Amino acid sequence: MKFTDNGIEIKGMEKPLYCGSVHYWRIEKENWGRVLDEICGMGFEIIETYIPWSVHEYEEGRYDFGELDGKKDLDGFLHLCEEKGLSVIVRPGPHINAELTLFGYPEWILQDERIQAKNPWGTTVVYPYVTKQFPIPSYASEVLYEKTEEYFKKIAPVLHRHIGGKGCIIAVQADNETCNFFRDRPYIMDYSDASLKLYRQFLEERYQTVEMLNESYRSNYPDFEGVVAPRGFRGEKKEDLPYYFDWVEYKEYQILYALKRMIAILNKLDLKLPIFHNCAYQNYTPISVPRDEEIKGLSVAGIDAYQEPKDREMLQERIRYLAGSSRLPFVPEFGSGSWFDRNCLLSAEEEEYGYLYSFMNGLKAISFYMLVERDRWTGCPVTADGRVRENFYRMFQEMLRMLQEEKVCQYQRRPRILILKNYDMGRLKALYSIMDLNLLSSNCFITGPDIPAVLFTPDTDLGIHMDGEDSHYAKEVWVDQVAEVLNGQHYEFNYSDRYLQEERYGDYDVIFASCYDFMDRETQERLVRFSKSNGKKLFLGPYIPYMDRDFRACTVLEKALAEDLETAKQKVPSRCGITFLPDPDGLDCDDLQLNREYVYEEAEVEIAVHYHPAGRDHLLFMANHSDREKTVRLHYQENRSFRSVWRGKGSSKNNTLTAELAPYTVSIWKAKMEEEADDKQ
Amino acid sequence: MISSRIHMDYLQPETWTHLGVILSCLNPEKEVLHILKTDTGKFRGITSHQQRIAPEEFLSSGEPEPQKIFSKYGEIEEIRVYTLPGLESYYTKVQDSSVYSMDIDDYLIYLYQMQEQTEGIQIYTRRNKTRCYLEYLKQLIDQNVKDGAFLLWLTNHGELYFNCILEYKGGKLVRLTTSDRYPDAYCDYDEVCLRLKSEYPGSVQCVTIELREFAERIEGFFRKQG
Repeated sequence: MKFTDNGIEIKGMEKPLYCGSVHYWRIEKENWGRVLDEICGMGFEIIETYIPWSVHEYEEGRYDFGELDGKKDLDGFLHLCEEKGLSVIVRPGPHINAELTLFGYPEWILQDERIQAKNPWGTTVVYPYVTKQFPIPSYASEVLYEKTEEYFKKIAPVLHRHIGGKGCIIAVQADNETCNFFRDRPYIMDYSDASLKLYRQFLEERYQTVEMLNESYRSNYPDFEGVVAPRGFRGEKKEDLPYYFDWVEYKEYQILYALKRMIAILNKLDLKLPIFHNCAYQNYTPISVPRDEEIKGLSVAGIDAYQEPKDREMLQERIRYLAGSSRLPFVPEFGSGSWFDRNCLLSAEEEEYGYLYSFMNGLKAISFYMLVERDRWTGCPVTADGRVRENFYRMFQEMLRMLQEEKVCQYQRRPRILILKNYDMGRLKALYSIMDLNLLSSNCFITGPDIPAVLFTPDTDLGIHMDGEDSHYAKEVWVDQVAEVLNGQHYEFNYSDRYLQEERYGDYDVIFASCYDFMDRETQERLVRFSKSNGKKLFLGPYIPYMDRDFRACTVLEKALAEDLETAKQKVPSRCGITFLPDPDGLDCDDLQLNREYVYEEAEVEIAVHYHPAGRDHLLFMANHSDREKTVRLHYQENRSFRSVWRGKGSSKNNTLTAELAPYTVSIWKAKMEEEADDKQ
Repeated sequence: MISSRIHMDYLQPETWTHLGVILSCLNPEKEVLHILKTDTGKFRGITSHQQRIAPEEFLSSGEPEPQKIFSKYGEIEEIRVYTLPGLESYYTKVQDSSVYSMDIDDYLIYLYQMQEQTEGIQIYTRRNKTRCYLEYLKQLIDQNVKDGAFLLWLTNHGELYFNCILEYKGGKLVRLTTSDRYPDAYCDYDEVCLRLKSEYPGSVQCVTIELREFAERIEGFFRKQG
């Protein structure tokens, strides 16, 4: 078994990875068969399940795999999946959330002081879940890994019985949404002894000697032990920043460390399964998909997605980031139904719009979370007692049939433009806070106690430019402006950041790279190499870097720009190589000299073209992002015929496809290129 | 009040999607102005709706004067003034290991109480009302709900809009469902009451009410309590 570019290879056959969640321990055993039959009835061939620690180790050292409670018969459930012909992805945690009261951890684990993370003032870090507040564990705790390994060794014999041969298990997930329980801001945690020890280990790995650290910090620490972790930003000038950057990077290191440890434990079990991970929602510090995928033994890192009704912006940004950054654009949890404490649920039509819009933007693999309702979750196609919710069921059945019959996953979206976000600007904005306070609200029942983070932004003048967007440190004004211009003129693009492997730059003709006063030398050099490749264009803005990440002179990009423009001082737009673009509103997309398969004018309509790997035949996706019926006229040059494969209404004539689009829908056409004109629909 | 082992299942999606509307009756959104007094004695302010307000305009003897702010900003219901040491003290206390013995509802109430009791944090409210809706809700439930089941059935112009069945045991809420647990009768109030009563002989309360009246009664109850 292995992940592929288009899905997953099972016993030598590549299959699309269309999957959905079932929680066996939350369904009466006598209903398992009915529930799985309904899942097969929708066309699913793969399901996914957590294997929660707190459920199976019900008291410390006492395990139940169905001996006491039939619902916990993991082995029986997997046997039944094999009988039904279903493949299974397993997610043993230890973090699983799943709206379990302690997120799947046994209580004695979370109450063990050796495992608890600490806030800057020495007490624990509370997660105020709606059924019970609990202390967040530390990813640096050695005891946590020891106990996790003990649990994994208990489930391993069951898993081994279902791997290889006729076994149903095809992949395993390492941990779940590893991100300090959504506490992204750097100074909330973790100041436990174990974490501070790991922090100094990180510093030693980074600097090798304390002299090197002192050179970077402009400090005189006698040894690494003397370095005190920051609890908030107190710097006065830009030269103070490396100390704070290192704390932010340590928080990233801690998460990567946790994933490596979990993968190492899984590898000890010798499961011989591909391992993947699901990031929660972040594509900014402390999370990075490309960095996760550099971990040895981790095949794919995806990002989960829970859309709001009619949500276009989040999905476009997230899916295009995955398409631009991951080996396999995979959403390991895509909302199907919802947790009980949410203000409103999505209708089947709203869910369909979100799913298809994501495929349109490059999504390849998906797991619908959940397919079956259960404790603390509703709005799924199947209920825990095996009934069917007709509207959801029919939507999944029809959509899955179309995706499989039309072999959608084999088609390739090929945008020619990449937007590189500035990961370091996110770090700078994250570290630039007097203090960070834990989140004390939780969904719709627990609201009110939180304090806006923007209140703690210092007013120190560091003498460098910062991005002006203060709603969240992940957002960048320049990046959003570029995206708005490209969207407005109907150009497709992907997102990534400085951690993207350089060889993937070659997939694009144009890169827009967000830059400020500083940028690490390696990224500057990569961008210059790209700009010097034949026919490639690089746009930089809103500033040109002149320092590296240690705030020492580094003018690689500035010099390259000077070569293009004769002088770095003359920062005016050019038409080749590197272009300085301080204001994206000044971008004329004609200068990009990119051919588009279709040209159209209608606002609030978006299209995407996915090519067949063997030629120019393609799938044409159209999305109507408005609450009104739309008529769109797509103009093209070479003759082709069209066939609707999903909700397509319209006709083609004189090299124009005229299509009617219902509000908030995605329609799909198949376009076949023809040598001679034949404009029949 | 809320058991950590509470089960919440059979949530009928077409009616459960109105949860936000029901909660907005119980816990109407209120605008809060957060003011931070920095180490240098400067003030900065921002509302829960992200509106920046300069507290310096409203100082009296070097401190923000809440009545002036309330007068100018009619939408602001509450003002919280923090110092950095006050926040440190608060976030140390409310994350102490002792808090894990509380039920979540008691913990949330505790979060609000500690804001009022921590030196370095000042709370000003436009009206002299209890700030945490769960305090009211606990009172309401303690007065009216006994061990057994409680059915709340809300209609909108006569049509089923929302319902929930709360099950209490030992004074704790242990299960939350909707009439979807009786799928063949899920929109039949009388039948759902009958079936509940057969499950919980002698300990079932059923209430059916129009959404508009529900909202008015809740508002009236809160006003009386406040």
